[in-house]
Amino acid sequence: MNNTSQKVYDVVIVGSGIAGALVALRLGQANKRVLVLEAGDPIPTNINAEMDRFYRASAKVPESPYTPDLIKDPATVPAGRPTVLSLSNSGDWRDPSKSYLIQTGTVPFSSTYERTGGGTSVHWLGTCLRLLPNDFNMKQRYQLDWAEWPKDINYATLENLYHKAEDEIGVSGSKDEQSYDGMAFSENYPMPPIPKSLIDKFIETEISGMTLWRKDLRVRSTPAARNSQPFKQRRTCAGNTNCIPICPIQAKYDPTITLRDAQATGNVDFLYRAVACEIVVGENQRIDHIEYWPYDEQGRKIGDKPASVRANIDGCYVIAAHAIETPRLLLMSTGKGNRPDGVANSSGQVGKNLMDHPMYVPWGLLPQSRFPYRGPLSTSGIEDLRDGDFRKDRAAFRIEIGNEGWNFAVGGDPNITTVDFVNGLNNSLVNLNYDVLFGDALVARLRDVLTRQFRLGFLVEQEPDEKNRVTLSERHMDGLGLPRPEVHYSLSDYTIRGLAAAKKTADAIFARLNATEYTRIPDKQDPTAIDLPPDETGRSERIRFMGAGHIIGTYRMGDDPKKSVVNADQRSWDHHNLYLVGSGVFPTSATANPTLTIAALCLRTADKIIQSLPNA
Amino acid sequence: MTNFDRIVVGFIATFALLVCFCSIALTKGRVTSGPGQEPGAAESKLPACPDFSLQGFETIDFTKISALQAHGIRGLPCDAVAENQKSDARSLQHGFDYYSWLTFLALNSPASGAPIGADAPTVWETYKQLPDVMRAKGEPPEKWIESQTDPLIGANRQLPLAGCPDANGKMIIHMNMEETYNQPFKSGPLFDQNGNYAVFVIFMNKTMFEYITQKGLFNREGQEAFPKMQQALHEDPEIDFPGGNLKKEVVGSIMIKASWKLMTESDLAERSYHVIDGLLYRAPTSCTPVKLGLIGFHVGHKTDSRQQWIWTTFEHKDNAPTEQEVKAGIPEGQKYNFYDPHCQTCSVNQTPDGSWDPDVRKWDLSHPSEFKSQIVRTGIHTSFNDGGPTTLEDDVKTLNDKFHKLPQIAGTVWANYDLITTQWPSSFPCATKKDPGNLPDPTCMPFPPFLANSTLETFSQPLEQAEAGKNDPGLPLATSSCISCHNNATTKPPSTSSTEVMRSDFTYILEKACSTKANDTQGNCKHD
Amino acid sequence: MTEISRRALLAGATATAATAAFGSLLISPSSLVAQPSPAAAVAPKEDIFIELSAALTGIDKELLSPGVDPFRFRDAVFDRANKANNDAKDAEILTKLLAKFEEARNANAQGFVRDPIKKLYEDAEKPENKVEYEPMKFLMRSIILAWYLGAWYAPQALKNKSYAAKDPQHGYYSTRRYSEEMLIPYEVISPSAYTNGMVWRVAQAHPMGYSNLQFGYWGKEPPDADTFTKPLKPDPPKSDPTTVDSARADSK
Repeated sequence: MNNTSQKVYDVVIVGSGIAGALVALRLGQANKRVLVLEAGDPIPTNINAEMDRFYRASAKVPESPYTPDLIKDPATVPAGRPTVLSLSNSGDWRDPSKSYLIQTGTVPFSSTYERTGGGTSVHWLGTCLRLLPNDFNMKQRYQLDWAEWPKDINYATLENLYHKAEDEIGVSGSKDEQSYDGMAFSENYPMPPIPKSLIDKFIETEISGMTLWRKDLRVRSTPAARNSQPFKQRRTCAGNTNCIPICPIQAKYDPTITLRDAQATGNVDFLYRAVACEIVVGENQRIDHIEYWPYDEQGRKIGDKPASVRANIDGCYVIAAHAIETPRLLLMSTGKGNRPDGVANSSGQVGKNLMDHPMYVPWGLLPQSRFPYRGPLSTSGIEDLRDGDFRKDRAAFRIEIGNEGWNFAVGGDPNITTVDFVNGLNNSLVNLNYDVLFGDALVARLRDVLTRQFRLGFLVEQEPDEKNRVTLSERHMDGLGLPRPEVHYSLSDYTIRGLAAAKKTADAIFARLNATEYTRIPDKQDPTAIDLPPDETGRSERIRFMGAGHIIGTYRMGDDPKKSVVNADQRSWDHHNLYLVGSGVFPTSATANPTLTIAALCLRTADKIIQSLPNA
Repeated sequence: MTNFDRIVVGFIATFALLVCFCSIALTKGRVTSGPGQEPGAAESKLPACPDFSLQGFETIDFTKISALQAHGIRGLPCDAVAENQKSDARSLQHGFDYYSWLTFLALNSPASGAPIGADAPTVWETYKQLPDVMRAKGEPPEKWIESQTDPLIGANRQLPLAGCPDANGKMIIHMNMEETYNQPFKSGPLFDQNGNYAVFVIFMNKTMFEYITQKGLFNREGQEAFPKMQQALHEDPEIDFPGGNLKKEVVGSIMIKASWKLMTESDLAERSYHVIDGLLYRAPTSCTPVKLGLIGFHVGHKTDSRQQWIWTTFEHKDNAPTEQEVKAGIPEGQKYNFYDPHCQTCSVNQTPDGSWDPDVRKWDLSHPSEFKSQIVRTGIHTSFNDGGPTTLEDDVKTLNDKFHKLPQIAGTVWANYDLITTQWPSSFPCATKKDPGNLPDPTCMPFPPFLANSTLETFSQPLEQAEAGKNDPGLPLATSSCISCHNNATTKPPSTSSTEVMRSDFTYILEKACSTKANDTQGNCKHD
Repeated sequence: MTEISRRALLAGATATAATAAFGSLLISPSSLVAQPSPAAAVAPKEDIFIELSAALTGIDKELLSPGVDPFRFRDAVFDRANKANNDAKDAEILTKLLAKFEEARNANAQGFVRDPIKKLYEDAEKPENKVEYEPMKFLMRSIILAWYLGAWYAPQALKNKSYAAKDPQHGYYSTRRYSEEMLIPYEVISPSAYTNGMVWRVAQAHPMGYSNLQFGYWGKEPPDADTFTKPLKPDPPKSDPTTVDSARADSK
């Protein structure tokens, strides 16, 4: 698309994930001319190649269907990204020839993202929870010394936008089930909730009447971007149990849908394989243009210097590159040394306060067959522990109920358990006698184990911490010669106390279910191992945490330009025609998966941008 | 059941070559009259369904085909039969492919009752179209009209509003309906070498239509009420379209999807296509006459023995080359609807940039698209794995040649249409079972596993360069397969309903229903 | 009449026999093999492979090798097993295994109640057999895993990890400790091998990434276990005189 650089655009958007796609869609619908730059590959015409990669992958990690190739030295890849494989315990997370992120902490930042058409949400689960009223108010409500959300951003002001986002994406849910901890709903969800699985229903029955941390526990179906009916010409969910990494029938929303809708307006152009490398500031602190490196299908740079795109003088720029690449771009934009702190960084907060939801995953066998590996990966959760007085002292969490047996938990079931019983191993920890089985005996034993597998996931809120940050590596470059992101990450005591509470909760629930636990205790040298604070008896347990795939906080919003990067409109304090969107704006991480809130904030920002542009 | 098009062709066939398995006398007063034909004439001796057991392709001949066409609706089969009573894949496939040709001839016979031959409006063009059944405000459709005198296309059709005064006898193309120009699940539009959209139209036969109307499935509220209604009738709360049955002499539910080319003068001069008069309708009042040429033809037929339906597809021979033909070199002068042999820079099988919406693209017949689709039929070699030297594709080509050379067909436009293949559920007894909730695989192992019409599933064709004998010509669900895809179809109760969707028995027609309430604006649903 | 498969059924030829007649043929498409008569005295090698596979996996033969087999999973597994180590010498291991299995199976027919696989495993433990039987032992396991998971775990790789597991000196016995080194590398045979894998049937589920099931099925009990691992039975014939079945009886 060589002629895109000659066209005049109202808005240039960097990043085609859910944030960039929604802004592009709204602007396109309002007849604004939009250009979307995407570092990665274009949306394919069909998903044949992606499904092929997925089916053939031995490690069916979230990235497995997507490009770029998983096993490649990041120094040779023009638009690389972190992968789950590079987080393995054997030390890959610290090996720059394997890990795209240069990790400098003692604890690995364990979440990954994509750089491809559609962004990271191509492989999201689809969970669409709203943040709670108290999530926006942690400092006041719980006397925590945390940054605050802008006063114009809270549950009440976002409620209508949440509804619009749910309508746009297509969220199935029940407003009655979701009316807890202060959440109120003006409208129904656009589709009824996804039915609960057998595992959900079993847990629901067993924990009925259970109270923990002074909250009554209840199993609720999880609102999700998953069709419980035909919706906007997409199919109803057929329970392919593959939401992560890819739904074979697109019954789960992914941002390529919005990108196609944006294309359909006729007002949105796309430039793929275009890596933004510098935001150039002109007069009056206005962004003048964005430089980018184009590269070809073989990954080679095109040209000997970056190309550039520009929005018209009354227009604006939107950076929607997710919460590690966005600060990376801002920090890289030093204007040849004139701005050592980069763009939009007068507060010094760009890249700081990196957060995730550290996730504790216990797993085990239920006392009876409840048939996992059926239905969406998760259909319900226990949400009641997302809020409570305990938040003064320790992090809250939500509980996700998994439908996929031990697939996620042990990293590759049913293979691991099957190989155990065929080859006489005990990696699953269920084959205590190292039995070697075949024929009817194998069928019976395997069936017994597989049909009783289950797992939970505890997504713990992470406290914001300046020391957790994204900076630029001085030594390690990507395939375009641009500095790779350097990440320093740790878990604070507040967060670790939340993990400890999660462990206790898990133990209580397992006992209540009469389930047998098989969660592995990690080795001490496992970098994701956390020694929990000793309990009343002095016993200290060790658990392992994982990343939830939620990258938050690195260009936070606020009301004070000295302490935040953007305002309530996601507009840079420093540059009037620059917006930074995505979960990087969240000042705190809360306990909900961030995507729905990203979407709601982007719809709000899109409206603000439309209002700010002159009418055609 | 009555069927207005049981018009018997003027001559009685000999039965010598037919193996007749049933001796059921016709007792139903189904006989209708064509022009000049006396009701209750000798055709009442013929079973309504042709029993067409195939004994090998070499036994196919004109007399036999004519004899079959004397049955029921021009010889429309009620079900399929294997070749030579064998149960191997090749014999079954041959039986299904023969069934597909008989179906094609029956449905494409003239609606007027004349024998198939010279180009004329067809039987299936009198069927109801999708927007006439699933109406914008969920209103009940108008009754099925049996026209005895001059069955025009459109006799069964809702006329759009005042903007199309001259719609009688014309096929209405609803250009504002996305399904007309954008392939399923919004997978993309198709532009021919003239820069015009290929347009897609869905039809259903009377059996299917009546099930929908009798069961109230033509709007979302009706679909919501269906389970309770069924229970009150002491019937299964399952969508279950009536199936064809050879024994019971009934043709089952039939749905059709046709793809049309908007014909230019030079297209018409070729005299190679089945052509009818159409109207390109764009709401509210734009109505442009156009000639439509048939380029693709899907038929789905439900039968009692194949509860997952039998799926047939035909294409015009000039749509697109196969990848083998491209590799071998296209002969000079060979033209295609969707391929330019001289284009060096055209990306193959890709969707266009920019909006796909004809209004946004500012497309109309006098302003065609600059972008033209460059389509290649990606080839499969489906081996029967029985030691025989020919593949499934070789055999269907042999069958096509036989039919093209029949005297009724040779020299007519019908000789320009090729059967691609027939997909059928191969696992028995799975295919006969009506309780898919209790089956590990309710699709019952469709064979062949993948099937795409290059004009209708252009962008989900099997992978290129699929090699002979390779097990994986395509990827499940990502690559087009009639049965696998249609297996995902469900009903669509209102959005606030607590009634769960139900499987809709392999048709997406039901999910095009609109709500009677004003808030439904999805798809074609509109309220003033 | 309706399609022939139903006729074949009523005439007493079961679907399995149809499978045998049709499916017992060439494996490699490039070699042309004439269709053997169903009454062949000695079952061809490929049939023995299916029998071996059924005995190893506990899954019914008809599911491993259906009558009309769109994906020919059996060919993929056989081909893979046939060149387990990409070495001409080792390709004979499958042949030997099939011969030994057939021997054990025939011994079974003579009245001993003996599981041929069990016999093979027992024989493999005898000191004098160890060298000869070991490759066959692990090849059997590779074959089971190929059928179950659609993936090839090389016999040598299985052997390497297996011995290590049993060696107390290497400390792999800790009940709660996990070592990534114990994981065995594997290769997915093909997408259709993955989606036809038998483990999902044993779990009464479906392959992750490929479901033909209906919305909401996950909230309902699955069909019973046998539906997944044994051939389906046809519905009992109805008594309606106009049905196919009774008419067929008439026409005989």
